[in-house]
Amino acid sequence: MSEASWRIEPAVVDRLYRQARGDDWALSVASFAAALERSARRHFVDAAADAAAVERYLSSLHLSDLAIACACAEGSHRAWDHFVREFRPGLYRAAQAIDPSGGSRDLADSLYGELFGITTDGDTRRSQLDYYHGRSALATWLRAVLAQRYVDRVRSRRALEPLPDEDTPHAIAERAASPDPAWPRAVERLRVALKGAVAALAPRDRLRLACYHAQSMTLAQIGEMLHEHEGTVSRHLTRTRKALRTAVERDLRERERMSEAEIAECFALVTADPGALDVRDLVGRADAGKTAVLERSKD
Amino acid sequence: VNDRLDRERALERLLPDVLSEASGPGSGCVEAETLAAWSSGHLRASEAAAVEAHLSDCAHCQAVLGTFVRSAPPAPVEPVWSRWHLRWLVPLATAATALTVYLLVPGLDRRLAPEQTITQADPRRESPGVPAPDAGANRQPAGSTPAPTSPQADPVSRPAASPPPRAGRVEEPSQSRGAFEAGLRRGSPAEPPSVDKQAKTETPQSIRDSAAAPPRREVATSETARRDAPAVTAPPPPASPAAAEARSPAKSAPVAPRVAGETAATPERPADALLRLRRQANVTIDIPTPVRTHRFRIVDGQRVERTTTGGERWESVARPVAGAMTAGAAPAADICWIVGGLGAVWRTTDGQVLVRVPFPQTVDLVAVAADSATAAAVTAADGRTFRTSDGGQTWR
Repeated sequence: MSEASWRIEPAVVDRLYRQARGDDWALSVASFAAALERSARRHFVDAAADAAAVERYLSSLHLSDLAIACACAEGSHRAWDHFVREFRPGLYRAAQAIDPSGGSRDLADSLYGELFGITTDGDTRRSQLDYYHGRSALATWLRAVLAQRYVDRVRSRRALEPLPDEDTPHAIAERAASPDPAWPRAVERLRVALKGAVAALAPRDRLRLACYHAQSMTLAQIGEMLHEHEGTVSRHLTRTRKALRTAVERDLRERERMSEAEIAECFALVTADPGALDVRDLVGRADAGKTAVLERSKD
Repeated sequence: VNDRLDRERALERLLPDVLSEASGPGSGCVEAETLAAWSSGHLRASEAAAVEAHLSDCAHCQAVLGTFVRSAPPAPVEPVWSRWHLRWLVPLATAATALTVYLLVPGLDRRLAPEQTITQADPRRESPGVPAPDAGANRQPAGSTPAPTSPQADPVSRPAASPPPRAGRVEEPSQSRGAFEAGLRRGSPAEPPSVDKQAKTETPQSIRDSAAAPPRREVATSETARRDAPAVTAPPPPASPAAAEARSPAKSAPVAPRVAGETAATPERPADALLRLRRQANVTIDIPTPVRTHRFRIVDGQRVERTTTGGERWESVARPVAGAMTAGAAPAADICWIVGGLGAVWRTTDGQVLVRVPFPQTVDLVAVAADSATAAAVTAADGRTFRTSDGGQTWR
């Protein structure tokens, strides 16, 4: 890492330390200053920031949470008491919300252990809290870490699952009940056209679409995430779907040279039987109790 | 329409597959802290845009995002009554109920709290030779024609929220200390609180009304009194049905003089309305003099009294002709100028007898400021100001 052109003034550190109430956790000023510097170095990667910008950045941090995290990482009992009382219940609640069957409780326990610190080199204890730099609230950061670990575990488990046996009765029945032979080609045409149309969307439109159709988030959740009203999210989704349909129809007309009748038939085939292409069916993410997508969007 | 919807539904069934074809986890994936900061809006715009762009393409980060969102604690359910559009229901309903009760319940006396004392401008505060400006004159341009029946022009119907004028103030005896302190806050010379002991002791009703009187308001002289009079919305109950009937605006006919030929349908003139309201409210206009123990006062808009004992004893000041009196000013212990409706101007130079001073116009006069026995300035209801420097022989 190149040498930074800035340094944090001791007066600034003192002010931020007082603001963070580091005294409450018996946190040393030096440790807090080191945490501030780690955070700033991580943020100003170009090492060309001026001192004022650094001070503005540091002032915008969640300083009290950063002080608690530092104190916990240092092993302050008082800080850990506070953490156990204020943050650990939230961590377990998040785990329960992610997997109501309790499957992610062990993840939360594991994360809690790593927060306390793991021994790496001899006596060196490295806490996961060292990776917290105060840019978000500590509770929010804990939830994000837990979500990352949950997704990683799901993906790793899925990679180890055996592929379905093609000779099972279920697979044989599926093949016997295969639809119109024109169906795979129609689906493929639509899928290619749709992929191009999605790629042409603005990032936020694409993200909104992914949150709604791939992650099954509700309008309210998307709105909270994107800082939009859920009515606005709904309107944008409707507009995006319309734009997608128009783009797909145009693509089929111009690239595939399909007539209007062929386009209509193509859509009709997919509507009648989308087959196993719905990834929610494939990965078992389909939420049976959830409202249909189109019905959700009409809310 | 159905065709379009069917087609969009078909695309929606393909969308999850298409969207999941995005890239998997890579080196550019969003870190947990960045994701948390982005979700809570703590990133700069450029950083947030970069995060958004990555999230829109990366299926892994989308999955993390979806899980992260699901991990959020349930939002607290907002009680129905605390929704913003319902929060107003309680005060609105209360106000509507209070207004309905006030309007419908018979017997409520909608009048001013009695025994109000209107203190005229203190002559000791006025600089010599400069007549006290009147609030009405400041508000209305000179030469404009008054329209008494117009809500805008009629001072009776003016809202009570008008800016406070400078010439004087309305005091209630029980709260005169507040007025004194307010005067100190304004930086004006200390004026002892005017206590109308006689008014307070004459009627038990006045004591009760004083206790129930609204907070002291700083308002102007006569015109301000008119402005404030209808703004009182919580009148005290009458002492007796007879008193209520006698004080009821609907049943007590105005006593103010009327112009010859004026019919009952003629709109009430400002001075008449002012006089009527003052009589209904038992308003006493207090007129201080430079000598602390000497004061004049106008009682019920009809008679003038004078005290030389600091208010312990009041004596009537004789006057030859009856008429509505609206305001007064005393530049000396024995000198007092009084004005009233239809261009009535009186003056006493010995504190014993009021003498009518000729005035060229028959406009209602609502304020007066006097510098001496010969120099005075009167303000008409239409905002015009007339000055004399020769004891009323000539006005300009």
